[in-house]
Amino acid sequence: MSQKVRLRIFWICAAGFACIYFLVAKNLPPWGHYRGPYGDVISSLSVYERHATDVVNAIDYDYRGFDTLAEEFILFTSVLGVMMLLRPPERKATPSATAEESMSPAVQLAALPCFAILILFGLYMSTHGQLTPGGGFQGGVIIASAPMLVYVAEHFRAFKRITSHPLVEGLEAAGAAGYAVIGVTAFAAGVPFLTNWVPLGVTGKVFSSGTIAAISACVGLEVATAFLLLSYTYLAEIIADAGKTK
Amino acid sequence: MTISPALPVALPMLAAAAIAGVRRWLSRAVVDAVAILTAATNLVMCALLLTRSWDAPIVYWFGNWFPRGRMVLGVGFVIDPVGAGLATLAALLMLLALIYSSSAMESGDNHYQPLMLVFLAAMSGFVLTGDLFNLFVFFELMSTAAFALCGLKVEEPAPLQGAFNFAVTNTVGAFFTLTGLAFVYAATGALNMAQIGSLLGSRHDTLVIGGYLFLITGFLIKSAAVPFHFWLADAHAVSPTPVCVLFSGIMVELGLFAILRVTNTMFRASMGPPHTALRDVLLTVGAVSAVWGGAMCFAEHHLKRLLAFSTISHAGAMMMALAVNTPAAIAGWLVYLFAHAMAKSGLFFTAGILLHRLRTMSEPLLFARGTKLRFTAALWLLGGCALAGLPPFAISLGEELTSSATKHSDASVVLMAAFLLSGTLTAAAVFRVFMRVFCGWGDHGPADRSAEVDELPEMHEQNRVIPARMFVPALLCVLFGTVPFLLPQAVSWSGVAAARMLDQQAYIRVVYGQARSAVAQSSLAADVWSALLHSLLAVACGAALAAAAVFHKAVPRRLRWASHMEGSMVWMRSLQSGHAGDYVVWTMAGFSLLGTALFLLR
Repeated sequence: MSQKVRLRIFWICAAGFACIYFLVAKNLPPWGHYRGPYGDVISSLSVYERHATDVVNAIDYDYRGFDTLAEEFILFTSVLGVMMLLRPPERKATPSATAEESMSPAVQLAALPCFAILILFGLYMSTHGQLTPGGGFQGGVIIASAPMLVYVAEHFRAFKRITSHPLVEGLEAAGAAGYAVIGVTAFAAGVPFLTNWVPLGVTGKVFSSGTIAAISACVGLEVATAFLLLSYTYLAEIIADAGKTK
Repeated sequence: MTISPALPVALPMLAAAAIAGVRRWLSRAVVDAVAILTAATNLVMCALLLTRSWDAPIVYWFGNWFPRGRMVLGVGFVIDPVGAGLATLAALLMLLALIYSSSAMESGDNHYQPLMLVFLAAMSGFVLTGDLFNLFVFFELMSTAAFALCGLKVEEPAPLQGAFNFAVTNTVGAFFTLTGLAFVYAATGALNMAQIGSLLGSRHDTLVIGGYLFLITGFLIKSAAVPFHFWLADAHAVSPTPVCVLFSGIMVELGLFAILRVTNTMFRASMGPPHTALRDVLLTVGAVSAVWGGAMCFAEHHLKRLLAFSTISHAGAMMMALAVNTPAAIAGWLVYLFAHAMAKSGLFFTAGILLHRLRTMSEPLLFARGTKLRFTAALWLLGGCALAGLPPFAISLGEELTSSATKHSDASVVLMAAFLLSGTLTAAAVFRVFMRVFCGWGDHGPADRSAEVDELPEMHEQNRVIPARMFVPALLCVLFGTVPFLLPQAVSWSGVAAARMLDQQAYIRVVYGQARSAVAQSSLAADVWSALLHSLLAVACGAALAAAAVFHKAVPRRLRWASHMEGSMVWMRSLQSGHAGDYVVWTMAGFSLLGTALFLLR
């Protein structure tokens, strides 16, 4: 099928899809007329029941924590899959010369405080998810962006030294497993998987809301290391290709 | 001590993370041992859950979040015999696949085993859950692991292409399902299937039909229904053998299971009788898939692709049982599913042995090279007979139960014809390979360039004798395939499981912790003689067709239909273009057709 024919058939089918989609969407409840009491109930319950002022995280890591465990493993599996598909054959041994050039001292100087701030802000995000918007997923991504600065200001080799360390992979797995382990500890207390059984603490304090905070920290570790591994794997692929074509 | 229903999901996840974290320092033997042990533990746990769910479904609330009144707060597992049974089957196939691949198969630096374990965790969660969003999450997790496993042999471009097509089409499917989920949530404000079911009641308006349509489109892609099936053959052709076993043996069937689960827990009163649109649509899709897959199967000469098309055909036949959706039909579906999983897994393992010994999957290149492989030949022939349903293999038993549910209705003829065609065509393809490769009869057959791809050896070792870890799984699959036929209670057990699955009101009551339903009794019995008759007919037709293709020179020129079917179905095969864009176009076309049919027939 040529590109032209393919597109032509696609637009006809897409028109069919659009008709069905709008027919159904037109019958949705009108804007603002929320059907379920679920959101209202959780909003009013989560502070009282879980001492968590951020309702989104209370849902993510407690009420529907089992969904999030699987979501975390989707990320874990994606990284595992990418690393397997792009696993290094011998050709990646020769990074090109561009991998060695660093930026000017001015950029390096500017990057240094940014690096510290990013790490600090990421840690803050991961550990305060139960109190304010944020949490492990967001905090992890922020932490992972700090070594990117090293790549921008220094060079690939410096970035590689951080991200290709075997420890990163171990930490990633530990973050993923940590969530499940927290779930299993509930068995010791004789309650179902992922029950928030530890003391809930004082609402508004950092050490509050029980396992929500612990899970958030685990997820932060997993997401930060997962993004490091991903960016390293992709960058190594690109740089090896660039070195090859030279 | 009772086993927590969370463990079949949590244990493989933990094992996968543990292996992946220290995979650089572990030897291959340790990783294999941990993986096999985990799969075996899952098998035992799921079997125990199956026995426990027999009296009443197990309801398990994660995080101890029991429903408040009618409102469900958290995520719950609702484990009925069908779900637990499928989890057991998934663990069994995973165990066999891991044994087959242990020690010598390329593992991508120990990435393969953790991916397989995540795949197992996802399949277990998918069948045990009682929550719509949780179902979707495990659907995604299952797909993610499957995409990666499909591309394991990265040294060649073909596996990446196959994995890419698989990923694109199935991700499009996930978008459809997620959209449907959003529509259903907008209509009800709930995610728990029992709660949605009780809120929807018999509501049959545009929003409900649309939500249902979007939801099942993703599952139809997963279950490889025509015209959503294109990815399947591409993915199977490039996957390592044990991964093919899991794709064909259980993953495709889980797509069908999801349709069954979604339909019966949430939409039974709104889409089921007296409305017939859904039944007619699924019956048509199933019949078309059964015949299309069968025809493509017979026209194929790459052994793994051939078996993949046979999966499309059999999945179509199983979809017809879902369309009928009565206890007898679903009991038939269960028997069919188990028997097919075993037959197809046995055939894939056998194809893997052939690949290991003879280094190719192309039928013309294999011609007469298998004459000394007596044992492999026997396994292959038995697999072919199993696909046609020859007793003691149980596919015909499932067909018989399903068609007994439609006695005296117009669907009955369609059902019988599709079953017969599916069995005949797929068995004929397998018999044809048997005659050419293992007996050396006839000639090479038509040249098929698409089958002559360079196959990388899957195993790192060469051996004169087939190692036990390779032939034992194949042999076990063939043997297990006879269980439903030889075990007299199998039919009534599947009757009970099916009756449970279909009782929407009882399901809702159980989730809300109200009256436990009494154990359903099933007086289901299959007409064994009729099954025998039908399967003999399919085997005879299949053998005749295969012989007509193999000995085409002996057939008068005008009557060479068989070799025509084998060699020149050009336009059907040209649709299988290998271009992901084409497949998405067909997905959109299929969705538009399906939607038009559902809305016009409402």
